[in-house]
Parts: sequence; C-alpha cells; structure tokens
Amino acid sequence: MEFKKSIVYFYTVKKQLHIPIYRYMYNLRSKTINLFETKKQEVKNHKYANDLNYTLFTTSIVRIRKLHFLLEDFDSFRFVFIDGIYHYNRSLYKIVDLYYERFFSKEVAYLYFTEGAFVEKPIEILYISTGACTKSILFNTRNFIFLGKGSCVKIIESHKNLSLGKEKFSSVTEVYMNADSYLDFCKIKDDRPTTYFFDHTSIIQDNRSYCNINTFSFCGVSIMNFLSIYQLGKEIHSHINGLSILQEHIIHNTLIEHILPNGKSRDIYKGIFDKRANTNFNGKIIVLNEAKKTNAIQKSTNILLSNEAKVKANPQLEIFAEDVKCSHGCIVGQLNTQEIFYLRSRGIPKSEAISKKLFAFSKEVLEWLSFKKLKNLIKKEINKNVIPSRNS
Amino acid sequence: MGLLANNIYMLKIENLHVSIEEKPLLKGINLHINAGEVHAIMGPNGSGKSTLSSVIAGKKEYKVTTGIIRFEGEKIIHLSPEERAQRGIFLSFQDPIEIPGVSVTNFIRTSVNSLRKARGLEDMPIHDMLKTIRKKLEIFGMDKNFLSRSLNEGFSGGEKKRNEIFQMAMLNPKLSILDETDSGLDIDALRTVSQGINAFKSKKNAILIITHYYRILKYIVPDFVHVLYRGKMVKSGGKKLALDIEKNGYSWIKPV
Ligand SMILES: Nc1ncnc2c1ncn2[C@@H]1O[C@H](COP(=O)(O)OP(=O)(O)O)[C@@H](O)[C@H]1O
Ligand SMILES: [Mg+2]
Repeated sequence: MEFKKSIVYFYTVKKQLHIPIYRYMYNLRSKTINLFETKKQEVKNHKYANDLNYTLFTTSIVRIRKLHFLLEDFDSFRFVFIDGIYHYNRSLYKIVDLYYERFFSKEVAYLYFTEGAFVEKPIEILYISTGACTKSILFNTRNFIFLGKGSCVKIIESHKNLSLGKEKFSSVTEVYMNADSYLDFCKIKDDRPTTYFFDHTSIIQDNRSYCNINTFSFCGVSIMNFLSIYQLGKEIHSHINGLSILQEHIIHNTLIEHILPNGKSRDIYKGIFDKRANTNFNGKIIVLNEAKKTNAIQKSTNILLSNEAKVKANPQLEIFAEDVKCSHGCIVGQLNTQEIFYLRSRGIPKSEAISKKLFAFSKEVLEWLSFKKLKNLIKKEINKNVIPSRNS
Repeated sequence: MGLLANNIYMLKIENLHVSIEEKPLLKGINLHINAGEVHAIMGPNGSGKSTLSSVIAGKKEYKVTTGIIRFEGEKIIHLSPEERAQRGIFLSFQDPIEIPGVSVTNFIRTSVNSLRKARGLEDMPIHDMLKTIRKKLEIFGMDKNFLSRSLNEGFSGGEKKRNEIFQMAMLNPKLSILDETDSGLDIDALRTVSQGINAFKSKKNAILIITHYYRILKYIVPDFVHVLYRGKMVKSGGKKLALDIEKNGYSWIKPV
C-alpha cells in the first residue's frame, strides 16, 4: 500500500481536488492503483516476483513480418506494444508491471522500480501501430513510471507506424521519482512524415533526485512535446534537452517548477529546421518563493537551413524567490557559410561539411545522452534528414 | 607526357576580373606559376590579395566577370572548392575561422580521407594517420594536446597560422597559397614554420606567398615577386623587388 500512498501523496500535494479534472484524474488513478495492487498479488508467486512483478495481456493476433528490423538496434530490456497491446513474444524481457487500463489506451507501460533498484541495461518501450486496426485514428499510449528511493533507471521510448495512414500517437507519461532516484529518459519521435505526435509528460521529483530527459524529434507531420517538471523537494536536478531536426511542424512546451530550495535545472533545446518547418518553443521556468538558491538555465538555439523555415521562441521566467540564478536565451541563425567554405577548401564535400557542422551543433545535447548506440543512430539520422535536401 | 607537362603552367590566370555586388575588386590579373616555383604577391592593405586567393580556392561570393583560371591545363572556375582542393589547391587563410565542436583530429582525418577518396584510394589506416600527424606536429613545433581541441577555437593568432601550415603538410597540395601566414607569428615561430615550409617545398609543388611585409621572404626566398595595387598587378620582378618595397614602401610604384 505504500506505493499507492506515495503516488496519491505526490499528486494531492500539488493539485487541488476541487477542480473537476483533477478529481476525475485522481479517481481514475486510485482505481488504477487498486486494480494494480490486486494484480500484483496474483503474480506474487511467480519466479520473477521477488524483485519485480509483472502481469501480461496478450490478446492481439496481429502478425507482423516487417518487425524484425526494428528490434535489433539496441541492447536493452524491450517492451513492445502492438496496436496498444503488450506483446510478450516480441518483448525481450518481462520485468514490468503492466496494467490494463480501459480509459485511455488498451494497455499501459506500467513500470515500478523498487527501492534501490538498479537496472543495468536501458529499458526500451516500443509502440507499434500496424494500421491493421484501420479505425484507430488516434493511437493512445501511456507510460506510468514509478521510481523507488535511490533507484537508477534508463528508459528509451519510441513509436513506429507501419501503416501508410496518417496515424496519430497521443502519448501520456507520468513519472514519479522518489528521493535520490536517477532517471535517464530518452524519447524519440521519428516516424513517417504523415504521423502526428502529441506527447504530454509530467515528472514529479522528490529530494535530491536527478532526471535527464532527452527529446529527439526527427520526423512527423506535427509534433507536440509538452514536458512539465515539478521539483517537489530539495536539491533536485532536472536536465531537459531537446534536439529537433525537422522539415515539418513542431511545438515544444516546457515547464520547470522550482518549489523548494537548492534546485537546479538546465533546459537546452536545439533545432535544425529545413524546408517549411514551423516551430514554436515555449519554455517556462517558475521559481516559487520558497525555492531559494535555485539555479536555472534555459536556452534555445536554432539553425534554419531554408528561407521558409520559421522559429518562434517564447522563453518565460517567473521568479518569486530571492537569491536565485536564472538565465535564458534564444538564438536563431543560419549555417555559417565561411565555416562551410573552410571545410570544403580542405577537400571535404559540401554535404559532409554541412553534416559535420550540424553534428557539432548538436553536440551540446548529445553529450547528455548516455546511450552510445543511440548516439550513433542519431548521427546517421542527422545525415539522413539533412543531407538529401541539401545536396542540390 | 613529360614534355607536354613541362609546357603547361601549374596555375595560369588570364585577364581575371572579379567583383562583389557590382564593385570591381580585381581588374585584369595575369599570373603564371610553374611547378617548383615560389611566387610572392605583395601590396598594401585592401589591394585585393585575399580576394585573389579566395577566388583561386573557389569562394563563390565573388563574381568572376571575365577571365580564365587554369590549373594544370584545366579550367577551374566552374569547380567547387572541394574539387579544387582534391586537384591539389590549398589556401592557408589569413583569418582561419573558428569551428566549434569539430576537433582538429576529426577534421584532418576527414580531410585527408576525402582527398584520398577523390583519387580512388582507401581511407588511410588510423595507425598511419596518427603517425603522420605526430611527425608533422613535431616539424612545426606544435603540442599534441591541440589535436583534441575544436578547430581554431580559442587558438591564438600564431596557433591558427601554424594549424594552417600543419594542414598543408598533411594534405600535401600541389599549389599552396599562403595568405599572410607570417602575421601573428613571433620571430621564433616564423623561423620554425618557414623551415617547415622550405622542407615541404619541392620540384613538384609550387608556393604562392601573400604578404605585405618582407620578413617572411627572408626565410622563404621567392623566385618571382608581384605587386598588387588596387586590383591590378602593377609590377613584377625577381626577389630584389621585395627588398626595394621593404626600403621604399609602395608609393614609388606607379600604377600602369
Ligand atoms: N565580401 C566583401 N564584400 C565587400 N567588399 C569586399 C569583400 N571582400 C573584400 N572586399 C573589399 O575588397 C578590397 C580588397 O580586399 P582584400 O582582398 O581583403 O585585400 P588585401 O587582402 O589585399 O588586404 C577591399 O577594399 C575590401 O574592402
Ligand atoms: Mg588580405
């Protein structure tokens, strides 16, 4: 029951239940947690149950032949959801608490890490839409992640659409981080240019916890990343980084709320925009009056590769405390032609010179990425996304 | 083939006119450089020396209105900067730009391998690459730790110039254009770098030194000296011309 209490505590401390939507969410959550608790009892005797619990629902009969290419890239604990259904066979590991929730999506990635848990390999959550259920226009995915005290976890979340349709992924993630826990969370939005992504992620952090959230947005007709972090304790570190390489539409809304003293946050978003990309960055930092000695940095830096690409940046600082260090800034520029000429004058082909430059530009974000294989993949991504259109 | 090659200039510029935004910067340049020769172009500030070197290297901001540039017999004005580099043209920049995030090693490796690829060769094995790099660094009196730094970022004026010459030694070009390489180098550094350049010089390559001071020409002795003034070559001669300029300045040279 402690689990339930902690979540409820986290939630009520922040939000007021007299507001209908919060009450609704609260009730929903309580139901969810209760059911989860019963399910947990059912699998108590299972051989994995000592440290980690799981329940499985495999009802889908979708056959996918194309899948194998997706599954070889990482060395990870992998959970695969196909059309909203968790796939035991496609998933390489089963150390998850899964919970069946009817309200938003068919199944939920429910990850519960016990106190002191240290997960060596990254956990990969892969959502696949096959287009087999032609009716699923809006594809809801949901992550519910709970980190026990002092636990240490790395998570990669990505979505793939195998159909040719205009899939819409609507993803909601809630993360509760207990004291001294560590989370490395990487979100990848890289699908067809017809796919929509709506991502709402909120993270609630307790004392001395550390989170490092990387959001990569590479392809999608319209991507919205809403990320909110509430520093509900002391001496909390939050690093949120974003790298977008796009020719389409993207909105980043970030919120970091410093509630108690000695918090740190670093909010770095970089963008490389081509063609008619249209992008909004709304970054908000709130430092409430008790949050003394807060240190917050926010930065958005963008390169426009075409004359039609647009960036709208709206950084906001709301500071109610004294003795804080906060800074924010936004830069929008183009590739420096002198730099490109320098590289080319040494025999490096134009496309390679540009990709080198863009990779260098992305470094500030990539250096926060702890997954080596992913870093290489992203390097390829930079080449793939930028070069063909620039070769002219 | 040998006979024919002897008859072809390495670089041949004929009646070159260059302008930027309708403003003429070079007004009818002629210049012939053979393999094995060292040429110097002198001239006061703003006379168009850097413009000329950038145009040879392929900078597209400048518009060539008339004239021909040939490299080993081939017209090169339509070639991209990388294609010119791959044919053996190298420009040591007057003000090398800082490129944050790209390390010297990474850059030099890409560069060497790009040139090799253009000649149909495999990438140089890493071991050989490192060995060559180390050897060249030693020649130009450079510290190893500079390899991991970002290209030109935070380099002192002298370090930037050495880095340019180090690249020249690594890429082994046929024609090296050294734009004001001596500025920013103190006298010891100038001596080391000049020795390196002299060691690099051979019968097969050519060097074009651009400077408005005499001092570098004491170390690297030119076969021909040209004076560029307001976009025109107003005088050419042997190495004595450089000495005359050192003594009397430019004012005695009347535009033709
Ligand atoms: N990009 C440019 N735009 C406008 N004017 C230029 C540009 N580059 C050079 N110039 C002009 O061309 C002239 C020659 O410049 P430069 O070639 O740098 O001379 P030097 O190297 O001999 O000092 C100068 O008057 C300079 O102002
Ligand atoms: Mg100059």
